[in-house]
Amino acid sequence: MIIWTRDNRELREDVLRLEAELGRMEIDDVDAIYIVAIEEPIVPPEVAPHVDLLWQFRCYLPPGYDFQTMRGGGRVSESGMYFQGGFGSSRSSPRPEPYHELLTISLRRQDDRLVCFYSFGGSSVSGTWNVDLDSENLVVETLASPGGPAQSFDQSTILPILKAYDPNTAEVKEINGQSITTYAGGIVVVCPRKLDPEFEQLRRGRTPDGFQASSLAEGQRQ
Amino acid sequence: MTTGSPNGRARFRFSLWHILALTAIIAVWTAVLLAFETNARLTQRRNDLLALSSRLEIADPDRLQCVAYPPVAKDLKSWEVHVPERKAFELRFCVATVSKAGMPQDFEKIPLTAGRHRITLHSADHPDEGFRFRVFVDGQTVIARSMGREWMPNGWQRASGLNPPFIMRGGATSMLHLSGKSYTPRTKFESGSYFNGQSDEWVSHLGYRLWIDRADQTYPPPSPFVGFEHLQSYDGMGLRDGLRYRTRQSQQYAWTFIRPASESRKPVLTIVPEFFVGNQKVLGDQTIEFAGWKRIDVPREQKAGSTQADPGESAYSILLQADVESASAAKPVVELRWDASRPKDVGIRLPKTPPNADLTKWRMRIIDGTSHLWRLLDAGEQTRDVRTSFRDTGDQPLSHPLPLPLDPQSDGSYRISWRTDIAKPLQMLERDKENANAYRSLSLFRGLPVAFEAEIAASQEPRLKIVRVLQHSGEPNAARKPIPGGPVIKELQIELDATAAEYVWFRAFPR
Repeated sequence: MIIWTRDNRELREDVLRLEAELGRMEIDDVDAIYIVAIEEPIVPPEVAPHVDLLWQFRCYLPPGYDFQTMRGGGRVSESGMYFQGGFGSSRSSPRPEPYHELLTISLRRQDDRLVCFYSFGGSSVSGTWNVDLDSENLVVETLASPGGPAQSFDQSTILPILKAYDPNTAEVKEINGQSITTYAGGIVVVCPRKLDPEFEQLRRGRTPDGFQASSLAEGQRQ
Repeated sequence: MTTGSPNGRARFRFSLWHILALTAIIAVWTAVLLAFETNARLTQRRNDLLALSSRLEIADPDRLQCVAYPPVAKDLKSWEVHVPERKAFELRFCVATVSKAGMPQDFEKIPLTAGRHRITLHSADHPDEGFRFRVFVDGQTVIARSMGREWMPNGWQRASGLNPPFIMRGGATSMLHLSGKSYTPRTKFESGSYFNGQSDEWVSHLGYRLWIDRADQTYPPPSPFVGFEHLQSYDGMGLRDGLRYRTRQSQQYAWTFIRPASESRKPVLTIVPEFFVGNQKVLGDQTIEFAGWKRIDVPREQKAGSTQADPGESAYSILLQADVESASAAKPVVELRWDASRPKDVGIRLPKTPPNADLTKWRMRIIDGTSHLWRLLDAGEQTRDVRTSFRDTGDQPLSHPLPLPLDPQSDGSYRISWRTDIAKPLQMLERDKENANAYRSLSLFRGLPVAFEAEIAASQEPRLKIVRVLQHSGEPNAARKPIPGGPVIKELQIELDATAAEYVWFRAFPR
């Protein structure tokens, strides 16, 4: 027992050191999704000049969670999920066991393009956001703030992991009889597969019949 | 604990001491269980975190180890590595022709001192970036290679991760493979058209490998062959960048060859053989007792104790014998041969062996012309177009085999060439708005355009016939439709003397 006690003390210290690097997270509900933003993602100095903006999250995903991620740049609204522009999507198959993964999003200005890099687990993808963003005035909303506590969500929630837009590019559009103020920007959204049809409606600026506002998580402005 | 009673029976009696002792035992066990449970929970939690962290835990200081940093940009990869003491190690990088078959022979190298290092690879692999590769050790550039736009002028359409070669996995060497990529260059045919091909990892492609190895470690050059030393039947056997023999069904009669270097893993060349004694056909695709082509040669790795120099470095042969479920039936033996000096070819012959002794003639029917839209044929004199030549065939139907004269070359041998008249991948025809359905029912070859040749020795006394077709039906009972663009050669038939024991060299190459 003495050995275990000493071992536990060392383990606890090591876990604290790792959590200082990767964010602290207490899993109270094994069926929920947990997201914590990593305060200072580790970027080697020779890599840093190639990344303009970077967000990294540690995610806990429950068993059987079936979701896809959508990423794109174009026009976004301040609230809601309206999005117009080119986008890419990728599906993550459900797993029988719960698991932790890192989710990384970076933006990099390359010539006159904005390249969005997205990595989740072992797979990564990059695409061009056909949008001109002024990074100095950028409004950024994320589900979890760097240095802040882990956030938990149930499996029936659409998760706008990141929304970034330039507030100086406001443009009012008439969509479905409603006036929506749109901005040049981009979004990265994690959507449960069962809510794909609802997400498609929201993306077009429509509210699906019977859709509960609580099924769409709200981001926090950074 | 027990005391005597007047009637002689023992009686339990608990004192305060007993209660305290029992409580202490329960407390200790509870503490042990709690410590155990806490240990399991903390270990799990630590492992979950470690899997995401870029922290390198050195389990064995005598072994090369690494952990990757979480990627933050598409063209940058970083690793934290541990280099053991005692032996000299070096970081090696190669940008050249790569494949799954082996390690590059020419590479740049940088000595690595023992201890921890951070290694980063920057691969700016877009034509506009000039295909620039930079390798950093501990933040310092140690290798820089710029291949220039001309390396792949049109860029690449597919990039695949490259693992260490099969033979080097499982601790066979001390190598630590960090990164590898194989690019399939984009081929431009016409604006607005895209090409969707499928190659495999054995085909040589432009790419790179980055790895750490002992300074004295060398590797044999990658073999041009595949499928002989290791059972890789799915990838076929033959030349990695050339023709490979591959059958999917054990009872398949036709010999099928694939050529993944043409960006398709479907058969590119299909040959149906027929064997004769006099004028009687003794084996053909209609022989109902036929049960398959059985390999009868001894696979090379089983030749233990052989004192002969290994000819596998320059050529490989396999022997196939017809398995026919009839004691009296002919069971011909055929040899397929691949030679490193003939990178596009496969040789086929009837060797002099007792099962072939009675055979006098054999015929190879080269089928599937409708999939390739063969229209151009050169049998020695000039290239002829099936749409405009052969009009003087009288009243014979198009489907009747039409004999064609063969002109020998200066050395007496014969060469027959055939190909499609279409210079772009045939899959692009399926996007033709007017003829899409007609083309689709032809099951067109989905790879890059391919041309074919057969080289035949004079002693084989070859005779050539072609079968033409004007209409085609995708389904057995569906209405026949004209093939867009005119008639094609559905089949070539090459008839040969069965006693010559010479090879017919078939070759396939980019059109």
